[in-house]
Parts: sequence; C-alpha cells; structure tokens
Amino acid sequence: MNKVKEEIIQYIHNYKLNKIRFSENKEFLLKKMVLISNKIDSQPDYKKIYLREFDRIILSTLIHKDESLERDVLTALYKECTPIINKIVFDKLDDYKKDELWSRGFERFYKNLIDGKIYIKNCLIYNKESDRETRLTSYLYSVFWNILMEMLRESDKIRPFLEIDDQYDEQITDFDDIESEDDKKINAQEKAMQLLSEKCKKILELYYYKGLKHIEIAHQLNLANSDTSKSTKQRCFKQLKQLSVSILNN
Amino acid sequence: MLSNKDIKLIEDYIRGNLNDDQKRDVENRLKEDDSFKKTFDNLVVTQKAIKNYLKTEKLIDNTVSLIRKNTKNKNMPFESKKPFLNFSKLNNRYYRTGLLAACIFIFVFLIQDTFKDNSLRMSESSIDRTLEVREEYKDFLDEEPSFEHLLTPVWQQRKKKKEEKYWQDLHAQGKIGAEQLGKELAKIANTIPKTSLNDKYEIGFFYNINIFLDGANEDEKRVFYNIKNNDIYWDTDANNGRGGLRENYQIGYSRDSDGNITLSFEERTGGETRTIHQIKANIYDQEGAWENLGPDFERLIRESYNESLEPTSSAD
Repeated sequence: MNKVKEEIIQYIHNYKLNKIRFSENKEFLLKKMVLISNKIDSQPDYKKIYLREFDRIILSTLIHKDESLERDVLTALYKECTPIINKIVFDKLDDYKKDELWSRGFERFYKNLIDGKIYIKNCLIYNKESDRETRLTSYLYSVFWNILMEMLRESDKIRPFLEIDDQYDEQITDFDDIESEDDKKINAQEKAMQLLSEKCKKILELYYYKGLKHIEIAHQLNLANSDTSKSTKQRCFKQLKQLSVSILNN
Repeated sequence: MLSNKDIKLIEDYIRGNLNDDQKRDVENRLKEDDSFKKTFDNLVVTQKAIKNYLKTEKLIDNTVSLIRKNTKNKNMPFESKKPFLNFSKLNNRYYRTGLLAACIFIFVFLIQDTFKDNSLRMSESSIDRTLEVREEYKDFLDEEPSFEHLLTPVWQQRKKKKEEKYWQDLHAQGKIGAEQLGKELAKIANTIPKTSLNDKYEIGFFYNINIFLDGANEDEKRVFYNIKNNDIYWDTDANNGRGGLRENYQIGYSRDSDGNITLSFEERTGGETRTIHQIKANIYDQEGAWENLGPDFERLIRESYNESLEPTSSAD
C-alpha cells in the first residue's frame, strides 16, 4: 500500500510539473488512486491536485462509460457524497429516503454531464448555466440540495424551512473532517470487504446480514456440512479483520 | 479472552436469533464485563460495515444500471484550449440552431446562383423535343410517323423531283401511259409538304437574328441592322448576353401552301400587334434571297431535335 501511495505522490508531483499527459500508465495509476481513496494528508500541498484529479477521473470514466473503472469510481463518488447527503439531510429523511436522494441526485448529475451542461475546465467542474467553476463535491452539494427540496415538497409533510446558502463556496468541500473512531473502523472494514473473495463476501452476508444458520448456509452454498460453513466463516472473518487492520495502519 | 460460546451468544444477539431471556442476559453482561463489551462492540462495527458494504454495492448496482440505460454518447467532453476546436459548443442548443441556420442560408445562396445561370432555359416556353408526333399534327400524316416531316423545303423539292423522275422513267419504259403520268405529276405538284412544325416552332429557329440575316438581301439586312442598332427595339443584354428583341417586339412568321413566307417585325401594344417592317419570299425559290437559308434551316431543325439525326437515304 505504501508503495502505491508513493507512486501516486510521485505521479501528482509530475502532474503538478506538467510532465504527464494522458496515457495508459496513468489510467492504471488512477485506478489505484480511486481504490485507495483515502486522502493524502501527509502531503497537504498535493491534496488539492489530488481532489481535482479525482474529479477528473470520475467525470472521464462516466462520460467514456469505462466499464473497468465504473464500479470503483461510483463507489468512490458515493463515499464522497455520503457526508454531503448526511449534512444537508440532517434529520429530515430516513435512510431509505437518503438512498433515493443519492439515486435521483446522481441521475440528474449524470444527465447534465451527458447533455454537456457541465464539463471540466481548468481542472474544475464548469457549470454553463451558472457560469461558475467549482469542485465536483460543491456542484453535487447544490444538486442534492435541490433534489432534497423537491422531495420535501413532494412529501408535503415537512415544508422546507432552510434557505440555500452559498452552495458553490469552495470552502464547503471538506465534509468528512470529523470522523469518529468507529467510522474509521467501519470504513476500513468496508474497504476490506471489497478485497475479500466472492465466496467470503457471500458467506459473511448470509451469516451477519441475513442471519442464516450454518446448516442453511451450507445448503445454500453447496458446502459439505455445517462445520465446513462454520470454519469457512471463521476464516473469512479473520481475513476481514486482518485486512481492515492493515488498511487502518496504512 | 472470551470463549467460543460467548462469541456465539453475541453473534446470535446481533443477528436477532435470541429469545427475550437470553437477550436480557447479554445486556446484563455488557454492563458488567468489559472484555465482553469490547468484543460486542467490535462485532457490531463489523456487522455495520458488512451492511454498509452490501447496501453500497446494491446502490452502485442500481447506479450502474442507470448509466447502462442511458445510450446517449458524448465524445468530446473536455474543452479544448484552442477556441476554434471547442466542440463543447456543439452541445449548446442555440449554437447548433445558429449553425443549422447558417448552413441553410449558404445552401439557398448557392441554389439561387444556379437558378440565375439557368434563367434563360427555365423561362423558355416548353418545346416538345421528342420525336413523337403531337396529336394536333397527326392528321397531316397518313402513314406511320417518319422523319420525312423533318425535311427542309430543299429536301422536299428534291424528293418531288425524284418522284417525278420515277414516274417519267416508268413512262419511258412504257409501263404507264401518258394520261397516268399526267395524273401522277399533277398529284406530286399539288402535294403540300408534310410538316409537324408549327409557326411558333419555326419562329424559334429565327430566334438568332444573325442566322436569319444570312439569307437576306442587302436592303433587308439594312432594315434589321437598323433594328438591332436601335435601343428601342433591341436589348443587347437580353437572352443571356446574346442580344434579342425587347419585350414589346417580336418577329411574326407565316407560310402558305405555295411556299410563300412572310417575316414581319412587329410591335405589341396592349392587345394589338402593329407591323413595323415586312419581308416576303418564296421558300422554293432556289435563285432568290433565301437560297442560303435552306442548309441553315436544316441544321437548326437537326440541332433542335437531335444532332445525330441524319437524312435518310430514301430522301436523297
């Protein structure tokens, strides 16, 4: 992980010096960048470039419909947007509605992107309608805010009482500054889940998420017996823990 | 370190597989036992992480399907540094409309030019250039349509002579009598030359006045030169720069069965036509002023129909 991080820092350094243009190597490196997605706090000078480059990768992938990067990019974007959604929603919507907000917000953002209403200019998102350059998250903030207002109006129960503040302000990009210890652990374990094998993911899902018994899991996954299911689950759980610890340490 | 049994108990609690008594037991132990609580907290975090992960996966699945649904492609999303290569402008509705309007304007402009070039051809009266005989002239032809009607008066006269010679030869050979020969010769002499050309059509052949003047005598030429040099009658810019009569002037033409033709220079005022000058001649007069008109006439007919059309051998 450290090696990849060094590579990225080197890449950003070169990017800053305008040494790098678009290439396959860069794509490969960017994929790693998205996968890691934890900010390079040790190099605050590069943070801004990293963030802008992050926006560029996301938009480029979505526009070109690059299937190899699509899931990673969307996951990273969702992670970026979750604190925004949490912040603007506050206590006005439940979790189910939050997901709807994400879907509708993303749909609108994607439509604007495809219709050419927004594009990259000077490493920032340029919004034609408002003639402003912002970071991706700032733009999404305004999109989610508008959708939230629409949703509240639709529900007709809670009238929107907040006036939209300057949502384009560059200052509001750091949504995830405050992160509790538990949040860090959860994030690390989520990333660790991504790295597990499909079999492990499935067995942990069936056991912890759906609450099935080992005998049922064995039957569903065509395992020899409940003991096999038990030992497999323990092995996967151990892997998850180890991976999350290494992610946290890095 | 907790036993496997304790861990199983916590897991079942988290998964909601315990009854009320067992739940109460777990909650009591959480208050008392720190290591039990620590393990419990860790497992709660893990379960939350797994739930979050699965939820995110499901959400991302939906989002990916959203992208898949959108078949619209976008090829030039980034703004070029060179302004003239700024393809993103094509995404602008107004820009596209403007571009389309400009294209239509240029197209119309070009087409308009083409119309100008062809203005003479387009304004000409429609002349039937096919070789099919029109309905109104079918009465003139007692046989199947042939090219005979295209022959010029000179050709017609030669044909008459040829026919006369044919009957005279028969008479010389003693095959027909003098009476029948007289009849045949009278018949030939009375034959009106066949033609499908109407007056209007033939006037068209005199359209180019220079060709007309080729067959005119000096006095007649002078009259037409006077006409031509007079701005009142002649428009040097008309007819695509070749020159022609002004709008109110025309050349009238008539012909009788004896071959007398009359060409008149006329002025149209209102509904009336006034003759300004007139020339008369006989089309069969080989020695007269129209001698040279014959070949020109023939050429014009041929050009009008088909350049490759040659006189048939029977006509010679």
